[in-house]
Amino acid sequence: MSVAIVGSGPAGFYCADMLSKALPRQAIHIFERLPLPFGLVRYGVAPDHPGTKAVTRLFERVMQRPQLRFFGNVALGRDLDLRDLEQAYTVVILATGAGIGQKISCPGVEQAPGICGIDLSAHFNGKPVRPESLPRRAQSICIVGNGNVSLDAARLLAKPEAELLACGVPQALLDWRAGLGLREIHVCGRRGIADTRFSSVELEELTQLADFHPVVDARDVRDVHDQAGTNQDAAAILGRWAGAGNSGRRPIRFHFDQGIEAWRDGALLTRGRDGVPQAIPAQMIVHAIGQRGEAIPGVPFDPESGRIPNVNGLVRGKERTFVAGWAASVAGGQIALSRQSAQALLPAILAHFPEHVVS
Amino acid sequence: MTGTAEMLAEDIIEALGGEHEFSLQLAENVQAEALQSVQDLVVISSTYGKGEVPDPGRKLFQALQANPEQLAHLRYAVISLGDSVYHETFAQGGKHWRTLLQGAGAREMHPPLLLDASADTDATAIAVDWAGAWLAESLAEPASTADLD
Repeated sequence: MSVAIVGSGPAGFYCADMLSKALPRQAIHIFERLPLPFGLVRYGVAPDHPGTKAVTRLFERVMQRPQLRFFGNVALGRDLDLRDLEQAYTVVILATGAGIGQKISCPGVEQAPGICGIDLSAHFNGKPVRPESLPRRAQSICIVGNGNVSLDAARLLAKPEAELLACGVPQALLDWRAGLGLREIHVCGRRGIADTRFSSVELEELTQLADFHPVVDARDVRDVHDQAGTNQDAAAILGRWAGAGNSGRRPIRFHFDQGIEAWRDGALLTRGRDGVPQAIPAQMIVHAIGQRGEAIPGVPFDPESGRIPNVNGLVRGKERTFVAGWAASVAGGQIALSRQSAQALLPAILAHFPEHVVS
Repeated sequence: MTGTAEMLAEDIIEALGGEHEFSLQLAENVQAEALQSVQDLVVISSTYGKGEVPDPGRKLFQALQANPEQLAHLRYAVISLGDSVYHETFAQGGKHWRTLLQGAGAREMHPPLLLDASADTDATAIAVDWAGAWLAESLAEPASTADLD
């Protein structure tokens, strides 16, 4: 009797933690397709946010328990078949996450040099990349997206090299960045200033950059008080930046309410809600508009939502195969939510271990 | 929230356990009335959002805010977990608990410990040292009233 967990990010490890406490004598095996564990805590949380990564201490603690084994560099669908796992283990938990960045889709975007925001974070976190596969020169970069992944990308492109080196960012990435010739960063999205998903602390971090400063057009904040937006905190901070003087630092310029129409000749062509067209200089695009799961051979998958179809965590059509974390539901939200997801699954999983006594 | 507070509590109990009886409770499982039979309380709180008490503890916190006299008899100490990336609201979760307990007339037995997740230090070692000092101080002055739980 035993448990197989596919995926070693927070959802996988919280499942492992709770199950090992409830079933101290069962084997609990974690399979991870990358060589190193911890999923997006390692590769998605920006390298200059070490506090958020501190949860890995707990995960390392879980790994020390004798019933735990970790198999890295083993990919479900490539090296392992789900049916084999289901035969070998009492319960299988898919905690495969939503690690594929979505890209904007518009005429010309296929020709635009670009990278997904989460991949940018991953490489700055040390995930191997061939530097020649990255865009070479970009005087102006446009980040598309209205959430914190966009702000992470802006910071990683803007922060002084010495500070990033101190966070463990590989020199090769910093050399690549230095070679871009970057003069300006744009952050563009379709949401209004009071509906963005930026969090206040991450916005404020942009005011602490030595070489760049955030810029907001006064016209964008003109009637923010009339808007019943969902994020007034962000609107207040962004509003404060409107019309601020030029500090001599390079700009991180925000654009709101923009519909993206095309990419052409090194510029992203957009149109505001007011109908006014813009050409945002962009020799490179960073896509930060959301993430989805990946279709894994042999695993049920809903291509429209990018999720593994399930009912309360039990994979559709299965009896002993569960799904936890972002692979099950909408990506986004904090690490604590993964913990809740694991907790919610516990009773259904433990029901398959009859000798477990619920106290 | 992410399990760090619980992990520290377990570490402290494991290090100091031995002859003393400790009870580890997650805030989300504690009813305010249960604190009646407690003499010595250590609150380990992380910080959430804009310097707030995290969700799991909020219901208990609010219940106690409404009836703070339930806390007056307590001797307490607080560990507050924060992340210095969040300058303005750093480790404020614990501050709220201290304000609540102070205002209720409870007695602080030891200065609070603030732990920074962004610092490259061994949180467990620091917490265990702190807890050792807290314990020594609490034992030096046995609680004068009812039985210890």
